[in-house]
Amino acid sequence: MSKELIRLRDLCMAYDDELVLDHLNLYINDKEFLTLLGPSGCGKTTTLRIIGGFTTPGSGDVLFDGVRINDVPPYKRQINTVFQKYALFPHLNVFENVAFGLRMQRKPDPANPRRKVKLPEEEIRERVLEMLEAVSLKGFENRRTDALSGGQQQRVAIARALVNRPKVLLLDEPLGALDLKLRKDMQIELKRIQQQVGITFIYVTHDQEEALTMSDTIVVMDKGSIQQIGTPEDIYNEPKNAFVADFIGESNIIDGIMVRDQLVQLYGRQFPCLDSGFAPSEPVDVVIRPEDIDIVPVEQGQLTGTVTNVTFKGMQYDIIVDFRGFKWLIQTTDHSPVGARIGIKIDPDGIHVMKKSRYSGLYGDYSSFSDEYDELDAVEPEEGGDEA
Amino acid sequence: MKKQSRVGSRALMALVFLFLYAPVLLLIVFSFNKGNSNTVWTGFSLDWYRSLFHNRLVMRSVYTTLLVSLLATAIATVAGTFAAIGFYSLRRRSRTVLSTVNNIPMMNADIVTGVAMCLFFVAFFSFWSGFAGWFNRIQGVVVLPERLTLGFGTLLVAHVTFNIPYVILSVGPKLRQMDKNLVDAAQDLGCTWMQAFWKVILPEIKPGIASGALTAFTMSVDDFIISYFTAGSSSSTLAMTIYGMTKKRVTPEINAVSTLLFVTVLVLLVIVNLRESHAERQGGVQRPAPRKLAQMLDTPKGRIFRRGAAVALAASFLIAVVLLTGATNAQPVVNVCSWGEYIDEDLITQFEEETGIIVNYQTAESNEALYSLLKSGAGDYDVIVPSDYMISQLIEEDMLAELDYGQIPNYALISDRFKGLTYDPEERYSVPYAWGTVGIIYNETMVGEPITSWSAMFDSRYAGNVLMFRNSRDAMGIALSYLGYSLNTTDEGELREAFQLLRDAKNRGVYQSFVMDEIFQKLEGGNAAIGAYYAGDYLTMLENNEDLRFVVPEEGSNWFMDAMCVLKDAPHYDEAMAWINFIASTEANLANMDYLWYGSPNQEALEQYPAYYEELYEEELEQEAYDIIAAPQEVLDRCEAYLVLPLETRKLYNDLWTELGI
Repeated sequence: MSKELIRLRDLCMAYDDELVLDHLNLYINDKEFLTLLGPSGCGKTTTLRIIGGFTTPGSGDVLFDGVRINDVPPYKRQINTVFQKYALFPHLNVFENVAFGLRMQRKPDPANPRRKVKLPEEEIRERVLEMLEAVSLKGFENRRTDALSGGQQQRVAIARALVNRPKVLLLDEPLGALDLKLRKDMQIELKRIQQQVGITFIYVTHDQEEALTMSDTIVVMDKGSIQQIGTPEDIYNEPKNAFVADFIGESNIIDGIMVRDQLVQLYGRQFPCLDSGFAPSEPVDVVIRPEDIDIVPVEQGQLTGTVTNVTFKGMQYDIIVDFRGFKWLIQTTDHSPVGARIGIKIDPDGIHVMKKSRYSGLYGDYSSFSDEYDELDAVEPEEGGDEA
Repeated sequence: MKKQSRVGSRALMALVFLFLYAPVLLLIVFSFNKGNSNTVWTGFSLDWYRSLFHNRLVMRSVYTTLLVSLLATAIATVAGTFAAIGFYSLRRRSRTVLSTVNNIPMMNADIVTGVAMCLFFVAFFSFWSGFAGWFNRIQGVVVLPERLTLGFGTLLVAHVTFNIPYVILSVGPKLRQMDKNLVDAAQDLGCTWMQAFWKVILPEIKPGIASGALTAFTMSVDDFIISYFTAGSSSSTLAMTIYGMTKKRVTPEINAVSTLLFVTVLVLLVIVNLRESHAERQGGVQRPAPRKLAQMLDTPKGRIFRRGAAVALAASFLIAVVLLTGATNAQPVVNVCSWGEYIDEDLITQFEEETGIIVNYQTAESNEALYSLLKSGAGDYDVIVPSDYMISQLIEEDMLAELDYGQIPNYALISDRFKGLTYDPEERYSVPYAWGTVGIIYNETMVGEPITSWSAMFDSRYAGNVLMFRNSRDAMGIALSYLGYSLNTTDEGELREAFQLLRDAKNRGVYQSFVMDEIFQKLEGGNAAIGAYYAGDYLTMLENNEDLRFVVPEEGSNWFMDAMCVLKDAPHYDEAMAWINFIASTEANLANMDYLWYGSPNQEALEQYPAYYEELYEEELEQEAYDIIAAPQEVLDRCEAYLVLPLETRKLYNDLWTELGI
């Protein structure tokens, strides 16, 4: 078990009477890869900026190693940041960008400990070159930063932050500006770097796939509150509410009634499940992932419905099926034509029961299905535009 | 068809450019003219540039201009840059509002800004003198100056004020282009805000600051109107000096200084534009500058040097300011306001060397302009040189100080016939400076017969070839003289008769135009045959056109006297006395008489001038020329001086003049 490094206690923050953070509590362990995940405006970037020291919280405390650091300016924190769009210094070359932090550092003079001196030039040179090698940018020292590709600029930004040997690295949507292929490569690269340097990464993104790929812990946020904290598996398999279920992956979310432990009723039919701990006849939200549904002949189905839309996705078909006016998404390798009547079957472990929440009824219906149903999330506007 | 229209549009464009640049080109060409005409080319020479660099007034105003422009640019650049950063960090809505507020001064008419600032300064000074007086009374440790005046300080404040918006306007976009995370990134990497400013913001917005500073400098060098209203009597910028010089006539010397000013501003603008287009080609990214120098300065020694240089620069600025204000405070000064080209400037240098008193020499456009300047409270002069009728008006309004003739022994040299004249019958307020007559200047070849009467000014035979004064007093004066009435008549009937005469001649097309100093070009170039003007100026024209002749008509004419007076409450009374005594000397009068070709009131100078001329030019002064410079008594006897007119008559003059519709 790693030890706790950062704790956020009861953070509140408002811009123009709009609550951005609502009593946020969170602890972050040493050497952890933690992702703050949520839609635009959920407060994730604000949280990151508070940790970095660029924003002062309205109320609440930020503790670092048990010490309150609310009023410590950014340049005194052992934290470095990789910014959105990198924020490389355009007037400096690659080497000087990476060396920037080291040139600002002062250490006690060995001859006279009360005097502070700059780092020796050889040490700076050595550390910068070493770091450039670590991010595979050896030989790029004298390049101008605007002559680099997006991926290379990204690596410079990471090197510039890591060369200072921070205890925590903050990454604010660092892959947002890259194309899909490069993004996937960088995800793996980032994870590798994190394991190599062995420090805490706090990563902000709205891309659930990115979060699932890299994180040790995911913090799902919405409207300034944490919705769920957990490992990627927990979050995907055991979403706490309709918001999380909808935000992570694809989900059909249906109103149900818990008949008793391990038996839930949908559309008047009873389905065996693995969940328990609900009151008898308690109304619940039921999550069924599209890939957990099997299509069977009508007579064998637990439910029967009509296919209204079919999209070929390469590995599978996305099929929209109408069950008494409620539209489900089913992912299957079998083709069913539009208009066909089909039956479905769901295994008990494919059913996940959640308590009702304020998000109930908002998500999980595919009536407004379109080909871009999920990609829409990827083009959300930048967050926190008026914080500067 | 298409081709034709392209040729047409090219021709149109060429025409537009011709219109834009022909005047400036003409000015540049004639700045190299050997003679002193602006219409007749007599050969190439650099004489006017040479004389420019020996012109004390011009050199001093160049110095003032450079100093005020550099200081104003430096201050405005720093202030504007930080203001732009402040704007940038505001929310969008307040930023938009502030940017609009920032833009207004640039759109606003200069004249409004100038007048407003002048009023503001004068109001502030009166508030200040109250405060300082009270402050000095209640304690004796610090003595605050009670009397503040317009001068270099107010000029500088004004320039800083109108420059700041240009800096903000040019730095603002650079800031908005900048990735707003850069500052965060710098702080993240160990910079305090100030370090982030120096290391990251400044390099990013440097091109904007540089072009802002260049624009500001150009605006400062270029400005006339705002300077005119805020410089007071002790400072004069180059633009103001040029304006003062043109009052008399546009000499090639002005062409020379204007050419230099034009070239300077042109070079600055070219630099600004090159920088901008260069930056655009670079995709908005700045080049890594002269790398070698930067590397050299980036060594530890270099950094010490760099810091030292910055400190030295700042220190020298401070010292310059202190010296400047100190110098003006420590040295005795006299503020003189006269007319353009109305003194041999060597006299100023000579006076300064002899007495150690610094002369701030300024010029006004006309008696009326001087009068309104004094009334507004902006003219803080010691010595003024108004004309006869204006002197009586100033005495009447109790605006002049009595002179201490004990300090002006040279007053004894003034010819008795110029003492105790109607404007100052008791000899208490004035010492005569120069005098002259008004007469007809005509082109012998174009007229064909000698002119002796004012009738030529109303004669249909010369229709379209006559130039009349463009001021009511002189124009009416000519008509009154012709009719045999007094120049100072208050009789409405006589005045209306004179007006009828003028209007009738105007309707008959006798007058080519109503002119003041344009008369030089017209008569010299042979573009008009007849005009009325001052005797001294005739001799100047004669140098460029030998066919011109001068006559003081038989009906009589106006003769005028300009005399030195001291304003009530003049801050430098004793220095003013020293100046007046110096100018009244025979040597000074000889020099002025030779420079102005106006008559001297000094009896010795009048007598010695022909000998002086002969010694100087090694040729004899013709009696005819001498008689034009200093009209003989029999001519003066048929002339009349202007007296101040009663308010009612002045109003009638105004109404009639308006009715004439000039």
